[in-house]
Amino acid sequence: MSRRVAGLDIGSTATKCAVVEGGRLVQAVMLPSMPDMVAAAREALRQAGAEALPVVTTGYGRALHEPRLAQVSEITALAAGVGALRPEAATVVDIGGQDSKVVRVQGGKVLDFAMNDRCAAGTGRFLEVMSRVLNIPQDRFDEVSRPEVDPLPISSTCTVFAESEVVGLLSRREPPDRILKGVLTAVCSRVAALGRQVGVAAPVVATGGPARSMAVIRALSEALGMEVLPILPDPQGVTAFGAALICAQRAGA
Amino acid sequence: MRKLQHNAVLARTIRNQVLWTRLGSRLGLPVAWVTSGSPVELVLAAGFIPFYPENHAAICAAREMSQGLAEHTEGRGYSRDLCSYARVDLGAQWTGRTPLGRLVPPDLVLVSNNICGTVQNWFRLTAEHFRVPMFFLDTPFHDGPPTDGDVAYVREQLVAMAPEISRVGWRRITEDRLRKVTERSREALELWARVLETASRRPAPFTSFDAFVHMAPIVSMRGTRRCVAYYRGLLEELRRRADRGDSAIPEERARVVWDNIAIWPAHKQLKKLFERHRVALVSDTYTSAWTVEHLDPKDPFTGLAKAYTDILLIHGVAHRVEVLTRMIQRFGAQGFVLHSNRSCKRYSLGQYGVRQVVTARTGVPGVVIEADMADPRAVSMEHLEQRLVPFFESLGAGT
Ligand code: SF4
Repeated sequence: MSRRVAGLDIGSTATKCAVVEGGRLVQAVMLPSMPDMVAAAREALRQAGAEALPVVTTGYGRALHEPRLAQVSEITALAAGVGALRPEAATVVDIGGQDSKVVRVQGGKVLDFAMNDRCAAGTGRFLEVMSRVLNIPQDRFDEVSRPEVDPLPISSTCTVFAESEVVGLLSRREPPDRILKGVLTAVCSRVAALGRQVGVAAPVVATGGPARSMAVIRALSEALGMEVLPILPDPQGVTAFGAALICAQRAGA
Repeated sequence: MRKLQHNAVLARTIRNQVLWTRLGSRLGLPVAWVTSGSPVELVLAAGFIPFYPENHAAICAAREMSQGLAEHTEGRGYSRDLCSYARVDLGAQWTGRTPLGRLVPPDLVLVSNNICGTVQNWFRLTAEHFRVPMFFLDTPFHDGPPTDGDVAYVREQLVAMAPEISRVGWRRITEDRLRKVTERSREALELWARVLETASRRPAPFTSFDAFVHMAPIVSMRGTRRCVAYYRGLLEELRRRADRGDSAIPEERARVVWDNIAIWPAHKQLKKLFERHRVALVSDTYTSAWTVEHLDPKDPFTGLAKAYTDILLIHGVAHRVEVLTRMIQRFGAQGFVLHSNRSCKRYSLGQYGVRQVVTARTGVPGVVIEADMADPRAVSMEHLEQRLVPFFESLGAGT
């Protein structure tokens, strides 16, 4: 008999809850984590109707929520989620709020990974800062950064320096669409450099909030020199889904 | 899981060593400040009490004093990018603050660049501060084993240095005295190597976290009888543990090896993190950095010349790959952890490449963690967990 179980991904910016039954996603919820991660976790479970279900937690705040069946790292949960959604994937590129990761996977298991967590360059945080400076909300990236736009090179990789560089470009009245394209190229080349640490093998899939944007996917494909497939419609929920699958396994559901 | 009885013995041994150093210097015995890679046997043969500033800096870090001392040195204009052992120890010299109560001033300093170039400048400042002579042993860097020319070059310096060191000490360095000291060094190193070897048993009765602290006598008391006695006792205890099946980690699920110096500011937390995930750290390149076989009581000068031109940090990265590969196989490790140590460039340079090559050779994965051996401002437990936990999980270990 299969019963329902939950996965809870308490991230630095968003908290995600997935409910799984018989290996299939039946419910997904996403909320902002701030200002109170513990409350956000509880609320996500409530909205998903998962308060009484066994839960495996993951993400930055995974130790904050009790009771739980177990806690696992985001990387392990991410690999489990990708393994179910795209079993053929060999590499996952995850652009998160505070960190980016490149994970080599096989059948839902982690083979190797590289992670950028000490510096905002190459993370969602960088995009967030640039989106503010350029005054282009992230959900409009696709509209502005069209394939035919020619990127302006952004040479600084440091977020603080790149921000000044972008301000400088704007003050020289360079077109924002070309600057944005340059910003995306810069982020993705950082991620690609990370990927070289573990070796990127095809097929490559992308997860994390920014992977929702086709402009980001295109820039990533270019930087890696191979096709990158987004996990749609919810690239941000893959980790919570993976945690729920691990929960099902451990609960014997 | 049972605590090592020798933890108490270690505490006592170190305390006695500190007292002995203080007492000896008050009685007028000469003191030599030496680097971890310098031929301490020479100064021992001349009757000096050796003192290890690197060891001292590590103690400052373990006792949470390192940040203040480093900041003092930085306040004098020294860059934060310099080795934290140097910043911490110089800070202690200049402020007089030390967890040891009081520093015993040197009568000479002895340095070799076989570990890095930093020590050369650090000890020059020390010599200037205390107005004492500095003895310097230049060792050639090599990518393969040291050549006969390398050994002859180093030997010549040792022979030339001996009478000068004798002049500052209270007795002459004779071949006979040197032979005795070398014999004791060799014996202690051999015992230490056997101590480390016990971790190859399953489950491991001892981990590198234990080795990081139990290496103190081999660093700072090498060449003495007390050092030999200490390791004889430790080895006995470990053998008993191994025979009884006492493990260092409850239900050991994975075994990994380590590259680089310990992370002193997070030593305890890291040890717990490994324990919680049932991962045994079975060996490392740091505590096994010496080679025993060279020391030769029959020809002490040549033996010393060989030994001190063949320590880990004087070799290129190809050697590191060799050492790690052998270690992984010998200890049956499923993975390896490379500590990219912000302070020690000599130790950390090339680690990303080393990681790839070692994985290709052994088939086991490695992870790079970024930290610092003594500067808590460059150590983040969160970062360490973020790297290590998924790595442990991928090895089939976890909470
Ligand atoms: S830690 Fe590295 S840089 Fe510092 S003294 Fe030791 S070998 Fe030299």
